[in-house]
Amino acid sequence: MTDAMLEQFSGWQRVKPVAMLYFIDKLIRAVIANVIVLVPMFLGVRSFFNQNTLWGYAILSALFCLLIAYVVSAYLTFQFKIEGQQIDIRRGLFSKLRLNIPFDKIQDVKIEQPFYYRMSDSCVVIFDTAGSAKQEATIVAMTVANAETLREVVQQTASTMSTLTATETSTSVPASASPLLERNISDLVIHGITNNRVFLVLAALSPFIDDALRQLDDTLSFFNVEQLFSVSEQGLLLFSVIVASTIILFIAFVLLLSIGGSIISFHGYRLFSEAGRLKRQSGLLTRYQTSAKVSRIQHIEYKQNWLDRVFGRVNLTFKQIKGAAQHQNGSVKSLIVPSVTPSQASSLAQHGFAHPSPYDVFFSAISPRYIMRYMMILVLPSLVMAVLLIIRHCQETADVLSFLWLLIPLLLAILITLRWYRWGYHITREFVYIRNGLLGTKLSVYPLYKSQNTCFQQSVLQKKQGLASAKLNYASHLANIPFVPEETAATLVNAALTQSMQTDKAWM
Amino acid sequence: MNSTDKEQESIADRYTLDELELQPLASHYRHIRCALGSVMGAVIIGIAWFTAYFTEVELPQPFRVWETELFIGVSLLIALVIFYRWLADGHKRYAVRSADISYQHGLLSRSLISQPASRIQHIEVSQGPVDRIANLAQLHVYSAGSALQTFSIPGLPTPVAHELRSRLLAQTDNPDD
Repeated sequence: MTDAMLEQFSGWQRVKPVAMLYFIDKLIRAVIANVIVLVPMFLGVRSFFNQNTLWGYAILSALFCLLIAYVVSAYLTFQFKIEGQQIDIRRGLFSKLRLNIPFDKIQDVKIEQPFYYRMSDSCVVIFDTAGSAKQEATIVAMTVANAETLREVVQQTASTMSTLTATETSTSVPASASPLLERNISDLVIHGITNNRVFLVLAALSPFIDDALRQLDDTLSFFNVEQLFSVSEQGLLLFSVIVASTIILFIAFVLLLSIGGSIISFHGYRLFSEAGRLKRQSGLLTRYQTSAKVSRIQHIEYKQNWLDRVFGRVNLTFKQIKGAAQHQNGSVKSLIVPSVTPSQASSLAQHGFAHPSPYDVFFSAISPRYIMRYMMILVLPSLVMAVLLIIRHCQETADVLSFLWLLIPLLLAILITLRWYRWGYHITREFVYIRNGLLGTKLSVYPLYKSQNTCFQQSVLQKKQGLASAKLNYASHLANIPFVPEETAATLVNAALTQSMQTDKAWM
Repeated sequence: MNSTDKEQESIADRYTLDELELQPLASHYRHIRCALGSVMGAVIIGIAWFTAYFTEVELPQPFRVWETELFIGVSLLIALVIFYRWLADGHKRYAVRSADISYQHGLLSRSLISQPASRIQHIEVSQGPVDRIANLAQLHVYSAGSALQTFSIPGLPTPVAHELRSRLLAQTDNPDD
């Protein structure tokens, strides 16, 4: 079946005409991206338009025709073929571009379905190659079924080339396999409340924010805000009511936006495990399909902020290699599973690599000397500053309020103690578990053999106290355990070194 | 607590940090750094002195009164930095084993970084103009993840740097790379 499907693409051919929508989309995005340049330009020529209306319309319609011509030519010149284990793409009218991508050079195949493709059962296929970040290897329109088959073929070829994953592909699961996890609306609402996803909405609205602010300004001046927020006009009680309700309204508004952002990006979230990959589908407007090769997962994070703790949810993240090679085509650096329960999280995490649940292990505390150190570095100087400020104030006017300066060192001391309290570690034969955080907690699990390099660090003071810090550098993150007994730090560093030097397992 | 201690002991330590044979850098490295630092410091102070006494340029008001003290202070600071570097350079060490390379540095807080050869992305040997005259070279070691290099070992005799480079390259040249 797959051969027959590939044969149909063996000669140069165009994509479906619906691809013109894709090019229009690209064009609009390009305009929005250059809005900073275009707006002054528009303002500059506006006076000309006012004086020569007829000419203005003529230029505008010429411009419009030019844009249509661009879209049509982009569609007509875009051709591709799939022959003999490689994909060829050529596009461009004036600057012609020809891309040749052998299957085995493809790291990942992503399938995206923008909302305007929904009706025609089409999708965009993006090939992630390790090399050039600039050249976008994309087939702009293809039926979903063909895209899925193509991806299967490419991934099988790619993984049979590397002997490491050959065993994994033999247990390939069909695309219709039941998902490991689905998220429904109520989960996403919780996620929106507990995690601030406002920026997702703001990013989408960014071109219109200027206008919205201007509109808001006009509306507010209509309501005579200055009078509303004046103690002398309203009296203290009414004033505090107005301030409080404004704050509440603002929070409610932000919360709604955040829930909206969460739904836009995670609607229809489904997580699959197939052929040595974790695959995620989600998105309300544009359906994204991203996947992460399991062998490339460097460490796993169980993250809980203070609101997550209230709701008893965890955000699980599979962390991949950070850096330039993974950045292109919006490829995922990490795969996030939003707002699951701790037990769901620990069973899902097993699909990354098998490890004992971090909720079952005992975390040892780091030395309280950690608090001492940061008290000396941060609290002591700020305390001295606060005392000096208070003395100066009291010389001028005896003011009780000046004692508020003391809150700064107090707050710092509380935060430092809290950070120490959260910091814990657990070392096993194969893994190191690190817990840290401030108000929330983050549990990270690192397989020892995937460490890139190690650092054993000891200051003169630490040496006297028999303490040291161990740092394991991973391709995804730096795992840091400060202020532990020096034997423990040495054991950890030695174990990580031994395993990364001896193991036959590849780290990616 | 006891059980974790036992577990930690049972982790096989084929490669331990204790067995590292740390080697000092080329003996004239710290002398050269000291000399270079002194020349740079002298140039900075010289320019400042020249500007203060032979041109119309004057310091803003609160500093003008303390001109001499400021000169002494800055000179002392530069001397202190040079002295600190002199001490710190003396503590830089490196070690090479069959499958990894390590670099130790730091005076008040000592770091010992170890890079397994199998995880090296690439290696570079660089030589500045002064290095070339002194026949010294720097060995840069890069691995995945760290945006910058893992470390760079300065002050190696040029032949040693090239020998280390080819030795480590031979190690990294395995099939799973």
